[in-house]
Amino acid sequence: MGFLGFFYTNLVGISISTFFVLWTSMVLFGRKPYHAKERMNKIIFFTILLIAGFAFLGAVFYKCGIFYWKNNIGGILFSYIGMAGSACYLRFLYGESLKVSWVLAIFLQMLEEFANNFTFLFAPKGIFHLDILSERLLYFFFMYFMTPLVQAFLVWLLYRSGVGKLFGQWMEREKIGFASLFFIELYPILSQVLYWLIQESEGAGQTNGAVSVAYLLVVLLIFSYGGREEMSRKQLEAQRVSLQQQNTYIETLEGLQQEMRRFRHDYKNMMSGIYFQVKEGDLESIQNFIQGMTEDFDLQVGGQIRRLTQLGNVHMLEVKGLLLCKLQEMQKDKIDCELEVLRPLDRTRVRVTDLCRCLGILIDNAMDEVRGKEEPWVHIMVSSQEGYTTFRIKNKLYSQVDFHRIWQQGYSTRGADRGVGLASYRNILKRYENMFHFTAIQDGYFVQELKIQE
Amino acid sequence: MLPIYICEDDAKVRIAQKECLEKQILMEGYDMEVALFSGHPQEILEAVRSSPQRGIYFLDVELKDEPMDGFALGQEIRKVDPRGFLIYVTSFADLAFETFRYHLEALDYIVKGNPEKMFAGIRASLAVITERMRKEQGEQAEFFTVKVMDVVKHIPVDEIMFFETSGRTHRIELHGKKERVDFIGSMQELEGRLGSQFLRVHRAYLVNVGQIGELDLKRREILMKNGERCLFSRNVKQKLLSL
Repeated sequence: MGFLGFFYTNLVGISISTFFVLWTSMVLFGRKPYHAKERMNKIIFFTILLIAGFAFLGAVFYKCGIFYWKNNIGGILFSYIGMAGSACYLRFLYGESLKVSWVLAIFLQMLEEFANNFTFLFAPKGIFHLDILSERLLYFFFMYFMTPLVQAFLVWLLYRSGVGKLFGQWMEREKIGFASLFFIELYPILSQVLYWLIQESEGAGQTNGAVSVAYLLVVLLIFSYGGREEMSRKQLEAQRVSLQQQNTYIETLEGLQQEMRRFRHDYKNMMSGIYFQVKEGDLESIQNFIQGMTEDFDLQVGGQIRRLTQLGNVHMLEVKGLLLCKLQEMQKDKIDCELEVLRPLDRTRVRVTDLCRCLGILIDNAMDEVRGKEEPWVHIMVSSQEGYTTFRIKNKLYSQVDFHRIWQQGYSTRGADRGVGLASYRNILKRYENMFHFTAIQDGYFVQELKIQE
Repeated sequence: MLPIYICEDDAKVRIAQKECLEKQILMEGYDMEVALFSGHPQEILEAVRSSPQRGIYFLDVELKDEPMDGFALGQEIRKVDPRGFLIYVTSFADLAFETFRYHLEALDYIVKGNPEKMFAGIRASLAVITERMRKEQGEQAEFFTVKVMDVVKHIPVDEIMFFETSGRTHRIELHGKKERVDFIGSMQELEGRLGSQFLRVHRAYLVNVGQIGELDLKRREILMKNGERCLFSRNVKQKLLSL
């Protein structure tokens, strides 16, 4: 076969691999590529570029004899280049961090190799002479029909068994363990070494299949261990938040009871007063009395209940916990706080830990500005609709801030050791293409907005 | 003539509102009229769609037994009449008004519990609207409008310091006197749109010429009037000096 012949066969093979990369990653992430519709042209272009590039590279490797280097170094090298390529491709598709894309790329490579090895277990012999037509056809049958079939079955298994969820949980962890990452990274080399070891001990006739299986199992173990750890941590967190919430509810109810007792006492007195006015037929003062009563009631009893009702619309537990915690802090500091959540907030595309950090920074900024001042007031709006989520924090502004300087690291109106907030907020935002910030001074209020395109 | 629409599911309140409005229009001689009052949001929408123009809307927030609430109705009206005046009427004092103002640019809200207060609110709204429209006519300031996802921001052109490309692709950051806006756009497009008041002084900066304070030739930096700094490239030095 000539150079072009290799190139064309590679095209087919790599197209199939790329298809599986796309499909499997969609199963694991549980979503379509970011902005799939709008970026369709770009995605198609890069996909074709990737396929053609690797087909070409593979043909070059083959023709230069790199694949025949000692100890299969050429093959290992090609694996790494391929994995790096698909890592970049995955990052381009989903906008996830490079680390996550990299791990996923390796995992996908393992899957493919496993499927490949597994299929060839059933092949009549290990080596095909591609120059002979019948053998070539047989090879193609195994390579391009049986392998994809096995792989499709594997992906289906992944889908059914909910490995995607575990993978997602594993990703959510802030730090991916260095040791496990290193172990996963070494896959192509280690699997080769293991293969030789097995060959040494058991003699010839073994295939790489056993090694891939072992490796795959270990990696799944790592995922599931990490994922489960994260899940149990989340469960604990969830329990903590719901406990905190229940406590707040109870406290609020107790407060209300106190309030009602006081009201009852007051009204008894006022009622006896109004009784005489009724007797005299003084309609106007009766009207005023009833008006005043309803307004008082709204004002004194309503506030706390109102905030908790609004909080009920936040269905993301971590965000709810954060808001609850901040509301309590503000209550302690005697800051008047209002919360508006008109439509339920169920989920966002931004990682929850990052979102909470951003919100924490923005709310802290607002609180620090108004704390201890006259009539301190903070307003938090959470609005989720029509594919966009907006968080808007507004507070009264007392001092004349140098507006552009608040973005500088180390600048703060509150003295030394402060002013890292907005800088790290910006750093988080940098990682997301779908997060937008807006900051302004409007009519004596400081407004901070964080918008997310879902 | 500004048409006024009332959407209120309580017939008594609806009629009271209409009478109050008509009395006030007559007394103050406003150029307005009550075009339609109804309990059904669909009816209001149809009327607005059939004669699209700037109007005034008094909308009940809670519409019982109707397919949409006041917020959704406001969203639909905004699609037809982006410059109209929305006033919300509610029986609870705890309306999420900031959200209404943010998404619908609602003008105000009125609590309908106490009729006297409701009438006072209606009268005040009409006065505010008249004042707004009077001001608009005298207004000369030019605005830079930019759409950030589902909302549109208006920033006075004179208050913009410069535009900066941010680290993310196709993202521009507007540095204003009182705001920072992060949006999707391209420098070429902005250059074309803003004209000669803005100068592309660097690959990453498009500067408002009127806001330049000083030039630091040694470090090749521009000090803006508000104290912010940005870079300029060598080939625009002459142009900057001749300004």
